[in-house]
Formats: sequence, C-alpha cells, structure tokens
Amino acid sequence: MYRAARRLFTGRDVLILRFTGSNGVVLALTVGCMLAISASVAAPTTPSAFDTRGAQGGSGPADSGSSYISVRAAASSTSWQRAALRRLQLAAAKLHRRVNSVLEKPNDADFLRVIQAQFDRAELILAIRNARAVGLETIARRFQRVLELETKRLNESIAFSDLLREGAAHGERAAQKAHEDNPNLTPAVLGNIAVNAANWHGNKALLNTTLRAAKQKGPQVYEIALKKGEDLDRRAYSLFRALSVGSRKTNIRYGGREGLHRLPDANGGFNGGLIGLRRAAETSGKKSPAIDVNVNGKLIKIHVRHEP
Amino acid sequence: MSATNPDAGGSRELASADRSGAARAFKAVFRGFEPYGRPFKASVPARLLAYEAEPWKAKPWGLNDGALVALLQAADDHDLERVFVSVDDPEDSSFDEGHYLLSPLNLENYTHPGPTDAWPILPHAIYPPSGQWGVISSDESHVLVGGSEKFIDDLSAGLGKTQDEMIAAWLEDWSEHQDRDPDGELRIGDWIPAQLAHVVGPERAEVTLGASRLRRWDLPT
Repeated sequence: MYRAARRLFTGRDVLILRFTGSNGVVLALTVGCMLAISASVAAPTTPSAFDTRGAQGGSGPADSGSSYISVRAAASSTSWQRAALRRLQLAAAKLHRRVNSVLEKPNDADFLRVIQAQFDRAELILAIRNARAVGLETIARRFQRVLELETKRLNESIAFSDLLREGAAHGERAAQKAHEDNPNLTPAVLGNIAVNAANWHGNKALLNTTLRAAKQKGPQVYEIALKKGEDLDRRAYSLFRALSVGSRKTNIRYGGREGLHRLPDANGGFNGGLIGLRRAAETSGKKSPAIDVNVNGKLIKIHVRHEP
Repeated sequence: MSATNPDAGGSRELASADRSGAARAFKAVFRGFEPYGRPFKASVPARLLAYEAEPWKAKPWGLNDGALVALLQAADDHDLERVFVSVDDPEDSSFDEGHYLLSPLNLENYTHPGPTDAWPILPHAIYPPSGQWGVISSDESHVLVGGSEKFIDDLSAGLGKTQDEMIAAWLEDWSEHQDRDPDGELRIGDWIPAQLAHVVGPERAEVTLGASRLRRWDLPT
C-alpha cells in the first residue's frame, strides 16, 4: 500500500520513500519533507575525529565500525569529487554524533531530537546521491552502509521506534477506516491517507512536547528561550519544519515568507490546521521570530527569543 | 444588545459575489491594511487603541473576549448580522483567499474558527458592510478601532479601562522591549509614535510619549 502511495507524491517524496525500508511511513515522509531543506538548515559542522581519520587516509577503525572511508580512493579525483567526499564525511560524522546523542538518553529522547536525526539522515542521503552523481560509486556504496548502520542504531532507540510505530499504526488504522467507508479507494489513495495520518500523529506529539518545554506565558502564547548567541531564525525555522512535517503549502501568501502550511489531520486528510513562520525580519514588532498555529481552532503562538 | 440571525452560518470564506461589498465597506473606514501604521481614513471621527496588558487575557492576534463583548454591545445589531474579516486590503489582494464572512459576529463564531481559517492566526480587519466602524488587529496584541464618537465612547465604557490606561500599559510594555535593544539597532517599536498620533492626535500623543519610558518617540512632522 505504501509503495503504491508513491505515485501520488512529488518527485521529492518518491525519492525518500525509496530509502525508508522497514522504518515505516512516518520516517518516510519525515525524511521526504526534510530533504529539500536539510542543506539550508543544517547546523555548521565541526570536523570530528571521524572526519579527520578519513581525510588523513588512515587505516584504523572508526567509531561506527565500517564507517571509515579512505580518502586515497579520491586522490586523483576532480575538485567536484573531493567536495563530494568531504560532504559525505561531514554528513556521516554529524549523523553519527546525533545518533549518539539520541542513544545516550533513550528514555528522554523527545520527538524533536528524533526529527533532528532525520535531518541528518536526509543530509547523508543527499550527500550519497551527490557522490554517485560525480562518479564516486564505490565510496557512495560504503557510505550507504554507514547510513544503514546509523539507521539501525537509531531504530534501537526505544523512543524513536515507539513514536514511529505509534504513528505508523495510527496511519494504518486511518487507512483501514477509509477503506471500510469506501472500498473503491485505490491503494494509492489509501497509502496517502496512511502517510498523512501518521504525520498528524508526529505533529501532535512534537507540538505537545514543544509546548510542554516552552515557558508558558499565557493560555495561547508560548515562549522558547534560547541562550544568547544562538541564531533565533535558524532555530525557529528548524522547529517550524519539524512541526509542519507532512504539511502542504497552501496558496495563501500570508504568514511570512514560508506562507501558511496546511497540516495533515488524524484521518489522513489536510484539515488538521494551519501553521506559519515569521522570521525576525518579517515581524513588525519585537523583531524575534514567531510560529503561528491554528490546530483545529486552537490558536497557538510560539515566540523564539533569547534568554533575558 | 445581541445580534441574532436565523440564517447564521458561522465563518466562511468570502464568495466572489460579496467582493465589491467588502471592498466598498473596507474603503469606507480604512486607508489601508496597516496594523502598525495609520489605518483609518481621515473621515473616521473617533479612534481607540485597545490593549490588554495581562498576557493571560490577551489574544495574540485579535480581540480578546472582553473587547469583543464590548464591541458587540457598542455596535448596532444590524451591523453584526454579517461582518467581513480580512487579512489584507480586499482591493489589493487576490480575492480568493484571506477574506471571510462571519454571520453573525458573536463570541461563538469569533472564538471558534474553522480548523483551516487563516484569519485567527494573522492580523485582521473586522468591518461591517455599512462601513460604520472598523477594527484592525495586530500580531502584537494591540487592536485599533475607528468609528463614530458614540460608538467609540460606548466601546470604551464597555472595556472597563480608559484609553489613557491602555495606552500607558502598551507604551510600558514596548519600553521593556526596547530595553533589550539599547542602541536602537533593531528599531523596535519605531512605528509607535506615528500610530499613537493617528489614534489620539499629535498633541495628546506628544504628552503621553513624553511621560512614557519609550526611548525613541520622534513624532512625524
């Protein structure tokens, strides 16, 4: 059913679903949505020991088993190939660190960190595709193996698997219900319903987690305070993208540069509400970004500000 | 005073048939969609700035319950039967989005929007087909209202706070926001003096601004 759903998606989502394997539909669309933005929102990556080993062309084992990739293979490569290899190394190192952080505290692993890991997975997937595009097929295959290992480690996180499993189960129930109501629905449509409903589950979990974490200022206005020096717009954008997983951009041109996004609903449609992001420069007031949400008539504004 | 309409339909997107009526009504009271500027036409005789300083009572983008009740009491019943809600100037925007009809305007319809209605999470203008009054909200919790002297007096009485009290609270909150930008680099609240002069007149605005902690308050010449 889920494979059939690919026919309904854009090319971007089709690409992602191919990578999902047994991780379930939530993972599939999550990564799908993250792919297009991963490059622009990824935090600057500091080269780690993991990268250094690769860059030095050493032969010792790396932290994640077979993740070590020799740079010698690209010794006579073009600048495009060297750039592609560097991108692979950085993306793999970043994913490795992120998975470590999720596994360190599996019981506390909130949905946001899992989503961040998905960003990093998406970044590595893109880097692998890029490497293939410049002719580094052998290296790409080895990093594909790194990706599989890191994904396996991520799946071992209890919170991660539970969230995905719950989301996928919810999506499946929604699709079953839709099928009972209308047996003529095609597998493609049912797959679409399952994915949307699963993403609704993810949005709901993340929104609840976010609001619990936010400092409550009132019944509808919440504030997320960041340490001084942190980039407010970047964090707000990252949060907006995570909250709007599976959403569809509406044709409404309001609510900032991102426009308003229509959120999936529990039944697999797109009536789950609206979400918008206004970056600092797009506000007329206090010059700090804000996320505006209408979830089934419940209105929420989340300010992202620096700590006083 | 309450409005009832046997054909009450809650909130719905504006149909194209309503387009000219909405644009005409909007232009009768507003110069433009300017929640942080000077939204009312010169012909609008009285204006009011409503502000709720208590964060748990404030509505992030629109009228809070108390202000809406005061508005419902101040307005003519006829003007509440059908009320337009727009997130932009109806003449300037493509008309298939961002414009709604609340029928009637009441607490239920305003506070229980549809799941995908855009106006509840955006600054919006509220105005009746007669164009007798207009409300424009912001996403910083202040609301501007324009209309006849009697309408504004009645509304002000219903709010339970004087205009001076609300403006003082508003300026104090913005002074605090400016405190975190002492060099004025972010230009926080630079629009406030012009807007205040638009609402209460330049002389009264100057006195009020002078008494506030606002760091920068050059009035427009």
